[in-house]
Amino acid sequence: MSHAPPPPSPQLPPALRDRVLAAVQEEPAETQGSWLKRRTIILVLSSLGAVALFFAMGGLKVADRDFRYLSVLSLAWALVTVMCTYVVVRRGGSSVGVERNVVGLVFASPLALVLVVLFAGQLDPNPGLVPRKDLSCLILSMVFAGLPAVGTIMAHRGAVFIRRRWFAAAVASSAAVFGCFLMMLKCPCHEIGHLLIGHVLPVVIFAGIGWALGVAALSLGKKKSGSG
Amino acid sequence: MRFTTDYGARFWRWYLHAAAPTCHLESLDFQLLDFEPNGSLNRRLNMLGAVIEAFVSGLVAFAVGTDPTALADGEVDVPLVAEDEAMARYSRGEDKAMGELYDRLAPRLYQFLLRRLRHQAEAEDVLQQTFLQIHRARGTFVSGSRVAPWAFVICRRLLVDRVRSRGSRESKASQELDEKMVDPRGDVESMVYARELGEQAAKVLDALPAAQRHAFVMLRIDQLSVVEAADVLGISVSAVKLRAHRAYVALEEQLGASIT
Repeated sequence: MSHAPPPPSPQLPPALRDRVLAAVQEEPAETQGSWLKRRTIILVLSSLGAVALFFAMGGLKVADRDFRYLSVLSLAWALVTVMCTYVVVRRGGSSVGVERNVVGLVFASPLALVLVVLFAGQLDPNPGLVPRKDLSCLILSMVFAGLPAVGTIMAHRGAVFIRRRWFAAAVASSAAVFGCFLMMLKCPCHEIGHLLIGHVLPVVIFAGIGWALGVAALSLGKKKSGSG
Repeated sequence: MRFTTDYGARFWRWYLHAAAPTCHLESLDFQLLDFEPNGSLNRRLNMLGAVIEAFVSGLVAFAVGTDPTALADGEVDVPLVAEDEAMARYSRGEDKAMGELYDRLAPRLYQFLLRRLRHQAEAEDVLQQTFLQIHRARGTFVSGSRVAPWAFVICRRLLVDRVRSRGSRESKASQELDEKMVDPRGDVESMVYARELGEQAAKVLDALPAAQRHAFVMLRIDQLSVVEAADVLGISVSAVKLRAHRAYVALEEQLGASIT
């Protein structure tokens, strides 16, 4: 695109206005109210789906975990989950999204979880009592996170964002934080190394997937313009 | 600081009176609507979100010890204008607001397109697509936010698609538009001078880094505000100012006093 000198430009043709308004009237479009309702329903159902899966796979396992340790870990993790969801859902009060919010979320959410794990680990009277070396937690965390991530992305398809990749990465991160939260309630292992690999690493992996697929996932695809 | 919903502003004013009486109310940008206790589920959800937002802002301000209503360094608050309110009404389902929105946005978008495409019919086509896209995405518009950056982002994406697809037709179209755009009112000498100067400026602009060029063109030629340009380009207000300034300095150096 070259930036040529701006000569006196032609005025907008009056017929174009009628053409645009006619084209717009022909095509039904969702209003804000119905879109918000649809998004809320999708978010709630996808989260409930993940919770149902969680209970279908055995639900909460307290095992030998100290009650105070488990409570602090759960509350702190839930707080991170709520904050991430809030940032994604509110979009910073801007229709195009706020870049620093979504980029901040992508980097801050795994760091926040690391801090939560390390902080709660100080309260654990029996650290490393149930050692685990397999990757089942990592995989299951991603399974739990999959439904909310896909649901939220689908709900935002067609929205206009200034940074689609980062928004998708933020959505995937927040869904992964939620999935890891569920897995943390299920997994009796409280070894810090395992928590970081099995319960925090999925957030980074999901952010990467969201970033890689973001543009394609949030685009609606080509539609006929209806132009004459 | 701008609140995304009217209830947020209402709650925030209450919060300031109740919890932080020393803050300055004048710096708030109020867009209050009448409170509707029996409003729809969405409005109530919206209100709940706004209350949480205001509360979190208040808590953060209390923890950090700053005035949350103060603007960030280099940030300029732009009050909502008629086009934003028209878009808000349109997104809520008031179809008649599209006409008003078109009247306010279309001339700016059209000039934006025309300067880049340099082809009248193509500019009209992309403009129509832009409004169709605005229509399709109206549900996702956030009430209380500015519509211009949103519309320019849509327009810019469609423009990029168009430029990619049209390929080699560009030079022919450019020549065609130049012929159409000769102002019959001006005298020949000044027209020739303006054209030469314009061509020189265009060369200098094209030689600039893309980031500086975009910022300069959006501010000086497309007449976007600094905040709007920052939203469209996805960078901070300070970065827009800096880039535009660098472009201006480069232009001034190359063209001398003639551009002023």
